[in-house]
Amino acid sequence: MTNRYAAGLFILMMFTALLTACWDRTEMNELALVSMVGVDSDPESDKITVYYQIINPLSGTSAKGTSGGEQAPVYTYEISGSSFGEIKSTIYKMLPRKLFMAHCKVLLVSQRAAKQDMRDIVNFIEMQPNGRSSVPMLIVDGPLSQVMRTLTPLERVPSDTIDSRVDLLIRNSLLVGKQIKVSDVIERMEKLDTIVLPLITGMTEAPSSNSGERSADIDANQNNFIIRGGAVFRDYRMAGKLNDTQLVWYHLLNGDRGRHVRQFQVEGKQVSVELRLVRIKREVFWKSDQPVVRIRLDLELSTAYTIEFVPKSRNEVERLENRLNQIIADESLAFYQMIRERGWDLLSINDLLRKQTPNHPDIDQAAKNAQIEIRANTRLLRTGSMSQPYGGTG
Amino acid sequence: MARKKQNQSIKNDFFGDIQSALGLPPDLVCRSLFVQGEQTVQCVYLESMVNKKTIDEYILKSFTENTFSEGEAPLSAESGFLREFSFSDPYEQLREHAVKALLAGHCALTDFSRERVCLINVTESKQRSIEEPKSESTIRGPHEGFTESILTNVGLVRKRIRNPFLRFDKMNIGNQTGTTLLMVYMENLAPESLVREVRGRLSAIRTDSVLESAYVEEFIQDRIWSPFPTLTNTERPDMVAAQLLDGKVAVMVDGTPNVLLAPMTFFEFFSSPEDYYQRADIATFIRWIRLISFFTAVFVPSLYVAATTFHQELIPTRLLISLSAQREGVPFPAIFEVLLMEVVFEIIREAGLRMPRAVGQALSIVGAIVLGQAAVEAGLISAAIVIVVAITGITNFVVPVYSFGMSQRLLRFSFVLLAGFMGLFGILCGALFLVAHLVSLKSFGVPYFTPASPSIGTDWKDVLVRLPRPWLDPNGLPGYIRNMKRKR
Repeated sequence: MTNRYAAGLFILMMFTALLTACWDRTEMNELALVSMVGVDSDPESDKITVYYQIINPLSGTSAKGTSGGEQAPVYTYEISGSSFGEIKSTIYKMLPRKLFMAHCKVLLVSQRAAKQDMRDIVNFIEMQPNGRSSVPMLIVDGPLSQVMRTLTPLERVPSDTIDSRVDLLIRNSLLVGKQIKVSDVIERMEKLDTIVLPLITGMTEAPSSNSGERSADIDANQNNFIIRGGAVFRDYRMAGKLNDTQLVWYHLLNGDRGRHVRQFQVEGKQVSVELRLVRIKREVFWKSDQPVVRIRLDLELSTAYTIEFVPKSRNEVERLENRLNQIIADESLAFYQMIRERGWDLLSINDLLRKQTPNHPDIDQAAKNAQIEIRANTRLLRTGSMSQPYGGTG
Repeated sequence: MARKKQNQSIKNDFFGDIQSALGLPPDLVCRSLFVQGEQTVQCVYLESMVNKKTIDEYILKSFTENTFSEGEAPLSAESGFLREFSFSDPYEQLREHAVKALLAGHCALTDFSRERVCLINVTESKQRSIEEPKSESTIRGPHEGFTESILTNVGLVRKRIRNPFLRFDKMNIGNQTGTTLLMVYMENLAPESLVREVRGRLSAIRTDSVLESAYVEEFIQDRIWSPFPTLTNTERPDMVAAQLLDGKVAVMVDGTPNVLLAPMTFFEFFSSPEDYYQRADIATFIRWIRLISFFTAVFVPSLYVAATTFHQELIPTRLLISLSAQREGVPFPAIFEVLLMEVVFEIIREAGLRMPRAVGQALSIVGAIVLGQAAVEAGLISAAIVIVVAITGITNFVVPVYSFGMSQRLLRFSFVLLAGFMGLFGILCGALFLVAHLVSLKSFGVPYFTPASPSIGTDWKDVLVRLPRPWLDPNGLPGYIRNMKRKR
């Protein structure tokens, strides 16, 4: 009986050898912690270049607890090849540690690569054994190598600065949307949606990659990059760009609830108003076989940031609200006309019609001919604490 | 004729026979009283174990004043104060009884005029005074601790429970040592089945010696192959009194201040008598600290090993960078680092116990800090390991029962090995085995993991939280004790 137990135990223990165990063990210092990946592809030579930005752990604190001094916080490795598979096997020609993608925070794609086809790129990200597709994807306006070699002020690791800027912009503006992760891109591209990804631009021609020089420079606008504008994607390809003003209407009409401050001209005066979407209602009805999409925007306003004009009476508030209702409806309608001319279904009208009339013979055509009615309903909730801004008039 | 011969041999050989039976001990004293040249009384005793004042003033003096008689004995024969044998009893038996009595601190008084041998209890054992127990000191609450004298210990318990139902069942265990054991319980509270079980296990002990209660514990515990103690031991009379009032059974062993208590459940090791000397909210908070400390002491080193060698994706990026920076240049794998430091820490702790008190404390603290610091400076280990080992070392002392802390130490090492070989999967397997073991364990018929499994709703009032006294049942016994009583 004891022998049978022993034999059973032995067999069980042998099975443990099959488990992902000891042989899978990796010490932390055998890993190259990838913080950011950049993908570029040259349409002329068909050559793919991948940039891996690897964190240098010693730049922060060392084993002895002292600062790593003038070491760069990240190292950028550039590997070229004719396919992503080839790159995967040639990376170790240069990299002495095992690629570890689990802590990658940002994926950058060059504009020229985005204009070709992004299928291979998203597949490449998904393919990584320990990779994540929950990282934001940004398109680089200009040379990718410049952004990949820029050391940013304040946040030592450039991917941290992008990640945190994107987060702050989502919360404090209507310039960046929430659905910009690689997984969102895949999901929405597969649904044939048209999407917008943020654009990032390097701010100097010759970036300094020397961290010592960088940290001594007081001007944070030098040697930095900026998130500005958006890239429109359709069927895994970049179809065009939106500027910051257009991005506001895009995100507002798509129901993003970030706060955004914009200046409007009201009765000949400039007024800075903070907008926040409270509710959006989109309904479709048919008028002589043509679809009409009615979008109603309920917005909260605040004039807390205005120094030009502060409404002081109920009458003034109403006049301001009415005027803003008009401006918002007009400008967003103008935005819609612009995207319709370019053939971008950025408001997902197609999807909306398909949901409502699944049996319609030609949804695409109906969507193109759809009429749009936009109605804004604003309510001024906060007027700020200053009734009379300092004007120097005594 | 034969009787006269026996009288003669008692007169001439009795002392000599006792002397040779005990191997000519240096403390054996024989005093004789002579009246008109005739020896009338012979008093034999072991000087190291008796109160000489009692012998002189009450026993020998009574003979000179002719007042010592059976009827005037200070105590009755049943008490063991006075046992009487006649010269006509078998000589071998008489001698055997006398030798045993001398070793127990009696004196053997041979009264030739009345032809009898009296064995009189004149014990005076050497003992230290009542002090605060060193391993179980307390801020608020009684500072008395048990001593090595079982009678003193009985007194300390009686002082707290003045109740006629308090029972002390006496037994002698150990063929060579003949140690006195007392099984203590409240007859009206302790379940009969429990008392029977403890008595049965105690009387089944076959051993030569019992020098400490741990000897007894090993014989009566439920399972040998388990890291968890199924009995607890304490030096505090208030703890014993509290547990007796909960219907439990205590075992006192002569010669040791550690009293055993049974049965014990897993969660009871996290409570201490001090919980009831504090406000309920504070007691609950401290109980949670103990639970957290238990998990920290058992799991933190293994989680560190698992996360840093198998699951780096679980660590937040900045922490990973910092840990990775600390490990740059460290030549050993994380599991080896942890094991090395844990073993070193255990060595320092053990050395600290053995060292003279003045040096011990300095050695344990300075040794750990200096050694850890030096090892980090030398690049042998990473700084995070020192923190991990220090945290686990400190949390290990939080649990109120020392023996339970010891089991945490064993578990910690096994979990580190599992984590080193199989990562979090190994820890999970180990934890499942541990839970399976805990629910299968019993302490004197009581499921060890109660009130969690089997669940006893009313007992939860005093497990993870300690409810205020008015909300607790004033006559409340633990649920499992109530169940045992009901089964009867």
